Amino acid sequence: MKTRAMIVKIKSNSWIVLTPEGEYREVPLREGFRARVGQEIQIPQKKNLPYLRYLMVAASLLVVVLAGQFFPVAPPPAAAYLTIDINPSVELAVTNSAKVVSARGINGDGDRILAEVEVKGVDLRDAVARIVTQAVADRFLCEEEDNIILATLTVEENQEPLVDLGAVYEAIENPVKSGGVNAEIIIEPVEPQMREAAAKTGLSTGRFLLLQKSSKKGVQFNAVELSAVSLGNLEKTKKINIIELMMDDQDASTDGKPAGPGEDKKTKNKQRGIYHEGRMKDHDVVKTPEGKAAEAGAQRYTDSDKKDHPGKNAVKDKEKPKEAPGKPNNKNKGKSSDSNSKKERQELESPGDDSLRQRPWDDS
Amino acid sequence: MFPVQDIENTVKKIKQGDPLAREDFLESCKPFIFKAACKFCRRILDWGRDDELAIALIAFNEAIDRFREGSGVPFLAFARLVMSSRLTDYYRRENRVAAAGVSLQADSSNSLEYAKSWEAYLEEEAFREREEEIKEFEELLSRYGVTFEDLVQCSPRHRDTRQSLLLAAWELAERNHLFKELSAKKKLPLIKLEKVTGLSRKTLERGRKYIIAMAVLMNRREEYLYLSSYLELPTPAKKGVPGKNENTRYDCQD
Repeated sequence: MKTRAMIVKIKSNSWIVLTPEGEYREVPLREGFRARVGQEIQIPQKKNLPYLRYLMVAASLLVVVLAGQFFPVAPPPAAAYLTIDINPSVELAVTNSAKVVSARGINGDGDRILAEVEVKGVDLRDAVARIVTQAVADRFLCEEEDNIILATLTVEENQEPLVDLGAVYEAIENPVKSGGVNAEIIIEPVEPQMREAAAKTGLSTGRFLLLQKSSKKGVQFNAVELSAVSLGNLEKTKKINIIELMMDDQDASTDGKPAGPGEDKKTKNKQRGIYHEGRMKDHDVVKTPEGKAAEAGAQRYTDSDKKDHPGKNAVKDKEKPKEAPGKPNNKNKGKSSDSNSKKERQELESPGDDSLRQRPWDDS
Repeated sequence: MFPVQDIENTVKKIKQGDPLAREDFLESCKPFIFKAACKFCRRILDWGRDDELAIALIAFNEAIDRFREGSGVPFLAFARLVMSSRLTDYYRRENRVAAAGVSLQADSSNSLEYAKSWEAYLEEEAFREREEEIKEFEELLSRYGVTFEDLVQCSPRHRDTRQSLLLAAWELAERNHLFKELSAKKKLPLIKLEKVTGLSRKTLERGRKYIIAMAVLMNRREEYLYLSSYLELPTPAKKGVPGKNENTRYDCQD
């Protein structure tokens, strides 16, 4: 809608006009239009909304904000972090949709392994499988050694893990198996604060966790040696059982209550990890105080008979005294149900066993 | 409404064929004709003695017939142009007759070509006059310390506000003592105006420059024909102001 107006003054880049209604207005000069004072021109009708300008500003801001919601310019923020420690330590940042957004090596081997595999933008499970496969290929995991794979996944408090731990477990286990290697696999959910604390020390979350737990047990680690040595070697040199270490603390954190499979269901919201004892330790003797573990071990022996290298349960109690000299020996004895539950879990978790599919954490 | 706009309507009526109206109109416009002729001749003329006044009156009558509505030129301005044009013709003829004693009758004055060029001339003249008028108005405003930029700033955006301010300006322009106070002090007689218009002091204060500009324009509306006739001003709700002033409008002494 246009209205007419008379030019009353010509300025350098605008006209002052008078409308028949008696309003003086300033309008921008029109290019290529030579006007004289007194000439009548058409000008756009006055806007009826005096606050239109502010409304426009508000509206455009809103559009920008909303557009930002739908079309994120920056890559989506990482919702969780997964670390894998074999010897190479890597950390993967994962989005809500379980896609890897970034990866970094925490030590030199980790950098090397990441240079060899492409994990960015890949589904977390694929990424984990690729890394483990590469680790096997690069002989970070080899048949003769005691291999330990320690994975941690940050899980917000009172929330379900972003990625199913079981799926991560499978992603690690499959390439390990197909590589003909045996490894102890530990997957530990941790709180994001733990990761932050670990990042400060320059260690991977897994190793940091190890450091913390072992110091609780009275085993002194050197942070420097911890960061470079493979976990298998570490276990050997320090004569400790990492799995034990992790699990012990877990049980302790449930206030000494029996942590049987039934209990697992109840406490599934509490942080529960996966502890898979897959190493072959032919030189170790299966011995438990109650003898039940021996039975379980024997049973497992037959279960995994088909495989070329029969697996054996790690002997925890044998190592226990060295590991935790300050603590009473009979900690596990005192909680028989506790050790029972461990035995049951070990049965369930034995490799090649069909019961793997009925792992307690699958109940969720 | 502004009286100038009434004139436009009267002219329309006359053109439709109302001889009585024409007589009345010519009579009522005599002060204007007188004033315009005096200005053109640069001397005081006398009805019945000077030819110029007769010529001006005839020209004014001609202007009624020639006037085209919607040309963008107000009638009085147009009439003034026609009068000037005819008076120029008259002087030229007089000079020639005096100089050569040859009567060069405006033989081509009725031809189409002449009429066309004459109209073009009028149009151009109107443009020039309007331009001049606006510049004059700007100068006049500057004497009150008002610029067009100020007016842009304080022009009331809301129609209702604008109308009440215009009415205040009208009151100010029509009340001689108030306007004299304004021209003398170059300040709005706020308290008196407040009483007269019933508008709040705040409103008047806010539209101060606008009221001054409009009051000045209204007061000298026969001088600023183009500007004042351009405005479509609201009808004052109270007191039939225009009718009352009809006869005194074009007084020379104004």
